Amino acid sequence: MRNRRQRGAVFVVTLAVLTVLVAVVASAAVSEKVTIREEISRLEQRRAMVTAEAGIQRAAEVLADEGTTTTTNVNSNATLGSTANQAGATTLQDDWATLGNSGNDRFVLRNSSFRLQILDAAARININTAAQAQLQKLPLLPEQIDAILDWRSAGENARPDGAKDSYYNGLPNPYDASLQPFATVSELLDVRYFTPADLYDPPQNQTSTPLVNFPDGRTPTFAEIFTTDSSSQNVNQQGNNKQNLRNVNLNQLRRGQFASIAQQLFNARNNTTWAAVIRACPTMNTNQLRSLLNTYYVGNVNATGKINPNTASATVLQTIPNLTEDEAQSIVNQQSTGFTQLGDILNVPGMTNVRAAANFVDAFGIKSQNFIVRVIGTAGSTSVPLEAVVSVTPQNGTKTVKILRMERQPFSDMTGRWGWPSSTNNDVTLEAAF
Amino acid sequence: MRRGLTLLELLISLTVVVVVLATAMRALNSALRFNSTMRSDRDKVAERTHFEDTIIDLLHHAWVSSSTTDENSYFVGEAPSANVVRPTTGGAGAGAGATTNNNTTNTGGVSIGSGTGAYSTPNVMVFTATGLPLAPAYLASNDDFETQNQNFGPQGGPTEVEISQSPVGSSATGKTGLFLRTQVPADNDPTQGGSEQLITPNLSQIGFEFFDGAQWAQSWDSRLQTPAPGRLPAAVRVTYRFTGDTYDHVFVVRIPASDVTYQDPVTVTG
Repeated sequence: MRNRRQRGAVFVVTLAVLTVLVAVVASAAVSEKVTIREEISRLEQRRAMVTAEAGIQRAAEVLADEGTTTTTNVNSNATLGSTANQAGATTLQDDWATLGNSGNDRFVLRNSSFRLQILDAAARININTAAQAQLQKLPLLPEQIDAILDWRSAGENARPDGAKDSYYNGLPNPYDASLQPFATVSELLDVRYFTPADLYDPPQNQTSTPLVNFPDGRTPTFAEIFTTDSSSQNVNQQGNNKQNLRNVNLNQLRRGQFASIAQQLFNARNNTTWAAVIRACPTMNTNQLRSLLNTYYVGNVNATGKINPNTASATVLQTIPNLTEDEAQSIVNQQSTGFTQLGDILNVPGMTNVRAAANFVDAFGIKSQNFIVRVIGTAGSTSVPLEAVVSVTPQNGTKTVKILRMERQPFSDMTGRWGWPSSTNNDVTLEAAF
Repeated sequence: MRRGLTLLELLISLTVVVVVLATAMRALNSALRFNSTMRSDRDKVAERTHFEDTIIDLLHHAWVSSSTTDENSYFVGEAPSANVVRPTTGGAGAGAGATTNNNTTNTGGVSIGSGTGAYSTPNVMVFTATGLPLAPAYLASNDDFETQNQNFGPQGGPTEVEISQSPVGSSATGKTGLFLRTQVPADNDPTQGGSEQLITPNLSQIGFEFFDGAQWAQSWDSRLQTPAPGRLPAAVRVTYRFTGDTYDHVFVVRIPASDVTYQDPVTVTG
């Protein structure tokens, strides 16, 4: 019996040792598998990020060519539309506007891909320049408006419902109010009364004029209609800087179409808004104003916060003070042909009156300088959504294209939030395209 | 009746058992040691990867405002000082208070791999960044503004980022490694504020160099560059060693929002 028990003991001990060995090897294998998966995930994350950045570079390349077509040869290119790629206007017929087909195209870079969409920053409301009257046309609470105005303006005296350092310094996690223009739209999250839901979800406080839905039916969010980057250049139809009204010559005015208002115009030349110029020239007619807008500029040659009537949606246009819903819709209706010069705004039905124009003409700019690039880079099962702001600045006869900043988007479901299809099979293989 | 085992048989069988067990135990021991070494190596690689990914991700979001009046954005690659006055004319150091950062010497690169040259460069980098990820819990929160401030702190706008080997605050004593200080929103003081976390406890040396379009500069201060608001370096070269490393590790991070190129370099890096 003892012999039999001894043989059994050897067998059991051997089995036990083998079991432990197998367990150790299995544990190492599982651990290694997890490590490999983590490494693959990390590499996919990096590849998706790099691919998204490639998408931004692709957008920058197209934007660099924006406005390279002169007015004379635009008309010979009928397939692009009458306002495509004009030097003096930024329109939805330009190449940048159609690049990526609003996220419907997938640009394939071997085993990675990106989808993209370029938007005109001047199609949005600039929260640094929007006047109180414009903010009041948005579904914002009065205290939110006060808090925005307090945040971006110097001084320590808060509005009745606003907030300055005296409030922010008393928070559980205190900080100072900016007291200067917003750097990014997400900075609103530092402003009293604003939460992520206020910024990224459709507005709940529809106490004032509700926002009109986007053309694709989506309800707008403030994150999608606000910007800090809209900038327009005061150029003529050929893309050259207009003349500053301040430098106008009285004799020159007397000889041309402004002869009947030459003295009025000359006296009003130092004003920095068209509204003031129009009010100072009571006998000015529509043709004269149109020509004035197309030839001269007031204020700065690069204007911040102007809205481009070629690219703005009805949602944004309806927030312009003194502009009615019908007028906003009329502007949208004309976007298919486009506004080639600022004076074209006076061709919109219902907007031809010179006196009425004083109420809205300062809100518009035709030639945009900053663009928002939305891109989603994908590698394997990993996607990285980015948004970049790209500026296009004429410099010494050429264009300087610069990425002003790049922001990773806060949500993983950005396709839905941007109104893109969740997936697409419209592949554009970039090797072939190059 | 069966006879029992002879002494010889017993000795042989016991010897065999001992040999088998010894071999098995040795194999088991080797397997356990291999497993442990592998885990340790993997942890080291993971820590190194986490460190590099963190630096890369932060630098990809580096940002300097295009507004000439915005003083809340900067990129400083050396021990920073507060209240630097931007120069209005001339080059670096033209403005009052610029003396502490008036390092315009550009020696044109360092000796990478020597273990000394790269580390003579600053080991502190402070810059502003936009678009850093927001906490999912914060995004999902339905609390009001003040409750969110209490629970999550301020969240929006540009973030001030400091990467340094020198911890700050009352609990800094005795801590070593690489630290990340973030402050939201960024203010115009790059020396303090916000909260600090440890990126890795095992980093022993680190040096940053900044590509100005022509060469690797030893320091960078956008606040001292003209015209305001200054520029971001085209890229940052990071040289480092973890504890126990016998050679330098080097990686280069391109900054997407930089407009510095070979054709348009920065002549005064600050």
